Amino acid sequence: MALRRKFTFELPEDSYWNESDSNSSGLFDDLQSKQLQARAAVDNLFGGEETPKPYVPPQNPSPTPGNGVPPKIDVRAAAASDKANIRLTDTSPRASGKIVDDFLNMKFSDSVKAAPIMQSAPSVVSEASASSLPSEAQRLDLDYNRLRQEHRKLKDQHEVLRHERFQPLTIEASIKRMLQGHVVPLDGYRSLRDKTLLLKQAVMSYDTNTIFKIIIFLERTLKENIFFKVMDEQKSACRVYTRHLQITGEWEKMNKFLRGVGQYQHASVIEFESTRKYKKNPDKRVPLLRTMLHGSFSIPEMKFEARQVETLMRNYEIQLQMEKMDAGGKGEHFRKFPKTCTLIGLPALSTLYYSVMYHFDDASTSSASLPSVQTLIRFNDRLAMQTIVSALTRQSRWPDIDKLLQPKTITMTFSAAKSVFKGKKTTSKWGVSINNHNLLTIIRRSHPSPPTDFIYRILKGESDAQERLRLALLFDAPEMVIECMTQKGDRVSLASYAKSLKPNSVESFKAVAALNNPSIKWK
Amino acid sequence: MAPGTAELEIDETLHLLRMLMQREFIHYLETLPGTKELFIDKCLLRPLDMIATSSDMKRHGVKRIMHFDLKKSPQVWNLEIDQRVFFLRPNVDNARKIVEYAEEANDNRSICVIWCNRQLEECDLVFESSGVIGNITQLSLNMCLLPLESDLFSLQHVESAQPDLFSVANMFVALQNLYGVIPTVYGLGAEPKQLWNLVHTLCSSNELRARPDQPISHLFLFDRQLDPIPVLLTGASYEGLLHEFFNIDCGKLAFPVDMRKQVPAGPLDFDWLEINPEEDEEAHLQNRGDVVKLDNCEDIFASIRNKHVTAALEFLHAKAKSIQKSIEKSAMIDDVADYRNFVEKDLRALKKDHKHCELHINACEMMMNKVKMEDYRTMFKLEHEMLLGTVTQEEYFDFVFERVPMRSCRDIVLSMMSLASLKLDGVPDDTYNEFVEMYLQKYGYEHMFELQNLRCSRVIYARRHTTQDRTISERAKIWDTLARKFRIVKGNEPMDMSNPSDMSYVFGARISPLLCKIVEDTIDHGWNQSEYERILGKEKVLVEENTYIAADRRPDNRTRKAIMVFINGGITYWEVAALRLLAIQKNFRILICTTHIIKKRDYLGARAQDASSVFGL
Repeated sequence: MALRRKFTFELPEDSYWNESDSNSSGLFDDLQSKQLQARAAVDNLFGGEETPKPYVPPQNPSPTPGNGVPPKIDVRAAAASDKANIRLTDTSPRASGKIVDDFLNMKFSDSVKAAPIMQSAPSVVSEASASSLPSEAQRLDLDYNRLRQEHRKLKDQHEVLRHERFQPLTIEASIKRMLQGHVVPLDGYRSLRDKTLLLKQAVMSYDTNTIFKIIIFLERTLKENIFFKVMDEQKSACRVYTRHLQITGEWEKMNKFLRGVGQYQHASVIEFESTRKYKKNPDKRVPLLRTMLHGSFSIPEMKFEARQVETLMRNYEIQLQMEKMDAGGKGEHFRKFPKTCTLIGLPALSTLYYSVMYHFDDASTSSASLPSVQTLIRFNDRLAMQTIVSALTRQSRWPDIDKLLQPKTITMTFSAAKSVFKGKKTTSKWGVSINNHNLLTIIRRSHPSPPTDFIYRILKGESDAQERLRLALLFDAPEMVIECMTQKGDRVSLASYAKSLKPNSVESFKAVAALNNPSIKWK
Repeated sequence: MAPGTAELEIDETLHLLRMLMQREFIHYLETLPGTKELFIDKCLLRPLDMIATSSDMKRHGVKRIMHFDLKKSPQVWNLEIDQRVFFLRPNVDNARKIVEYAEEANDNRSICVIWCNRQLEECDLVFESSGVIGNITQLSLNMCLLPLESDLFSLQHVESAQPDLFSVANMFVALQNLYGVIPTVYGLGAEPKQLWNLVHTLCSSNELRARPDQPISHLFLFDRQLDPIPVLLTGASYEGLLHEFFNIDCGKLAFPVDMRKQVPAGPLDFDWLEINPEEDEEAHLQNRGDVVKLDNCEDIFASIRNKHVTAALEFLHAKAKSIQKSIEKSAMIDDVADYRNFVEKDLRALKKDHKHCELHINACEMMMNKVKMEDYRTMFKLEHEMLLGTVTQEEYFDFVFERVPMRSCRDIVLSMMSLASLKLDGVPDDTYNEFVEMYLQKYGYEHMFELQNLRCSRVIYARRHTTQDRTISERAKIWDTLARKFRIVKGNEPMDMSNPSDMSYVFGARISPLLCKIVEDTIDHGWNQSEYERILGKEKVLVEENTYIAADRRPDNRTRKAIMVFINGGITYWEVAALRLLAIQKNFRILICTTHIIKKRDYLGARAQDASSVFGL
C-alpha cells in the first residue's frame, strides 16, 4: 500500500512531477542547445556511432538475475533509461574528459550485459556532478536533469506496476499459476474470447480443480445461454460441472444445463431422478410423473423409458389400494407374518410378493389378488414365477407350489397365452424356465427347514444323474445322495459319505443298509 | 526371486516418499500451536497408520484422536483443547460438516483442516458461502505411494468415475525429485498421456535430473479403461477372493465372526421388504471379528496369498496336518529339559500357526461354499465361453436373468451384463430391454438413473446405442484387437494349479489379464510402438526416453533395476498375482503401483452413480 501511495502522481504534492516533464521552463531553454553541442563533440570523438537515442521503453526485456524486487522488468528498464540519460546529463563541454571516462565505463558495462551494478542511477550522477565542481547554473542544470531522470524512472516503474496490477496475466500463465495452487484473479478476463480461451486452456491442463474454478467464474459472469454455448464445446468441462451439480444436489439446474447442451434424453432421466425424494409420497410424485410423461418423456427416443414410468404409476395405484384394504392389518396371514412397514414406494416385484403373501386366497375379482396384479403390471414370466414360489415357500404352502410347477396352471396359461397372442415366444419354454438348481436355491433361501420329501421330489425330477448327485450334495439331501451313489455303484464314495453322516441317524442306517445290500452291483 | 541386495535397496529407497509425507504431516502438527484434537476421515485411518504412529502424534500435542463422523453433530469443546485438526478427503459433505464445527468454535479456539490430497475449490466455495473461510486454516497433504507390500504400492484413492490425475501427477513429481528421472516411460490409453503431460507441467519450474542410481528402469502407465475385464471377472487367487468377499483395506482385514456358518446370514433374496443399505452395513460391522494384518511377515498367508484357491486349501490342509503332528510329537517327549525347550521355543509358534491355519481354512471353506451355492462354476464357464465367443447367447442370458430376482446375485448380474456388452459390443436390443424391465421391477424404478449412467459409462449398453453414437464401441474394438493379438482367452488347457506356468492361472487357466500380458510382451520382445499406435491411435500411446537406451529395446534384468507398473484407476488382486508370477518367471523386480485396489462392486457402483458420464470418458 505504501508503495502505491508513493507513486500516485494524482496527489497534489506530486503534481509537480506531472507538469515538469512536458514543458521545459524558459530558464533552461538554452541548456538544450548546450547539450546538443556537447553531444556533437562527443559524437565526433567517437565517430558518431553512439548517438544517444531518445528513450524508448524496452519492448521485451529479459529479466536480469540478482534483482530481488518482484517486478523484475522495470528495474532493468530503469537501468536502460539511466544509461541513455547519463550521457545527456554529463555532456557539459568542459567536463568532456570526465565524460569520455564515463562513456568508456558505460561501454564497458554495456558489453558486460548482466551486471547488476546499474541499480542506482542517481548516485552515479551525483558523483559526476560533485567531481566536476560546476557553477551555479550548471548545478541547477544537473539537478534538473537528475530529478527529471528520477521522475522518468519512477514513472516507468509505476507503469510496469500498474500494468501488472490492472492488466491480467496471459491466459497460459494464469492457468499455470492455478495449477501450482496460487490464487489468480480472473476479473481481468472480460471478453468472451478470453473466457472461451481460458476454459480451453483449463481443459488442456487436465486438472479438474482448475477446470472447476474456471467454470464457476464463467457461470457467474455469463448469461445462461452463452455459458451453455461456451461449455458445449468442452466436454470434459461439462463433465466436471455436472458432477458438481450432482454433488450439491442441484437437480433443477442440472436438468436445465443438460437441455442447454443438447442432452435431452439424459435430462429426462435426471428429471425423473429428482422425484426420488417423493418415493414414499405418491400423492406428490404421481402428478409430477404425469406431467413428465406428457413433457420430456414424450420424445420418441424415450418411448421405452416412458413405458417404465407408466408401470411405476400403475404400481403406485395397486399399492395404494392394497394399503387401504389392509389398513387394519387383521387376518390370519398378518398374525403369522406381521407386516412391519408400508408397501408404498417399494418395487413392483415387492407388490407381487406382497400379494402372494397376504392375498393369495382372495377371489380373482379382488384388486389385490394375484391375477389382477398381473393384469395391471406385465411382469417378466421368469421373475414372477421365482417370486411366487419364494413367497409360497415362506408360507410352507407346498401343494400350491406343486400346482404352480406343473405346466399350464391358470396363472401361467394366462400370461403364456398373452405371449402367444403377441407371437413372441413359444410356451414350451415354460416348463424349463426355472431350473432345479435355482428352484432349490430359492426354497432353501426362503424357508428355514423345507420338508425333505419335497426336496427329494424336486431332485427326482432332475434328469441328469450327475447333476442330481451334485445338487443332492449341495442342498444336503442324504437320501438322494445314497440313492444316486447306489445307482452309480460307487461304493467308495458311498462309504466315505456314510462316515460323514451323523452316527445312528436314519440316514446313516440307510447308507449302511445300502452298503450291506448284496443285490447292488458295485463297480 | 530377485537377488536380495537389489530388493533391499529398493525397499529402503521407496520409503523416502513415505518419510516425506510423514515429515510433512508432523511439520503441520508442529506449526499448529497448542493442544490438539485430531479428527480423521474413516477412509484415511489405515493409511495414516502407515504414516504416523499415535505416539508420534501425541508427542506433537495431539491429545485425542477421533473418527470424523458425518452423522454426529460436533461435540462440545474440551477445555484443555486449543485446536481441532481434521484430516479429511476433500469433498462437499466433509466441508459442510466442517462448517458446523466452525460455527461452534469461538474466538480463541481454532480449526484446521488438512486435506488429503489437496484443497479443492468446491470446499472453498462451501466455506465461503457459509462465511467461515477466514476462520479455518487449510493445509493439504499429498498422499504418497503407501507400501501395502514390498512390491505393491497404492495411493489409496477412493473409487470414482472421475480419476484425480493431479495428485497422481504430484506423486510422480515427488518420486522423480527424490530418485531422479525415470529413464523409460511407456503409456497406453488417453489418461496416461494426460497424466504425463501434467507431470511435465508441474515439473517445468524445476528441472529433474537423471541419476545413475535411479532404482526404476521402466515405467508402464496404463488406463483401467483399456481392460475392464479383470474387474468384472472373479478370479481364483486366494488374496483376491478374500478382497472380493470380505474387503481387504490397506493390507488389513476383519474376518466375519460367523465364518463357520454354512449359509451366510443376510437379508433374504426374495422378500417384499426393502433392504436398508445402512442397516445392512451396520449388521456387517457388528459381524466383524478381529482385524488381521495380511502380509508376507506371516508365513502361512505369504505362501498362499497368490495361490489358486484350491491349491491354497490343499496347502492349508497339509500344513494343518503337519502342525498337528508336531504337537502330537511333543506328547511323546519324555525328557523334562526337552519338553521345556519345546514349550519355550516351538509351542508358541505352533499355536500361532495353528490359529492362522484355522482362520484361513474357515475363510476358504466359506468362500468355496458360496461359490458352490451361487453356481459360480456355471458362471465361470459361461463367462469364459462368452469371451471366447463360443457361447450361445440364449444360455448366457438365461443364466443372468435367472439371477436378477436374487438380491445376493446383483453384482454377478451387473458384471455379466457388462461383460456381454463389452464382448458383443452392445447386447441385443430386446435382451437389453428385457433386462432393464426386470431390473427395474426387482429393484425399483428409481434405478433407471443408475442404468442410464451405466449405459453412458459404456458399461452396460445395447446395440442400438452404438448405432446412435459411434464412439461407444471404440473401447470394445480396441479391447478385442488387443485381446486377439495377445491371445488372452484360451481354450480349456489343463494346468497344474499348485505350480502355475502362466499368468492365466488367476482366471482358472482360461483368461490372462491384458495389461499384464502387455508387460510380458515388452519384457520378451520390447515395446512395439507402431503396433500400439495402429491399434489405439497416436494420441493414446506414450513413449518417453530419458536415457540413451532406445525405448524399443527390451528391459534387461542384469541391470538389477525394477520395472514399475502403474495402473491408473485401480488394480485387481488377480492382476497383482499375475504380475508377481511374471516377476518370478522373468527374474525381474516389478513394483506394482496403483491408485487403489479395485473391487467389482465399487467399480460398478461408482459408475452407476455418476450422472456426468453422459459426456463421455
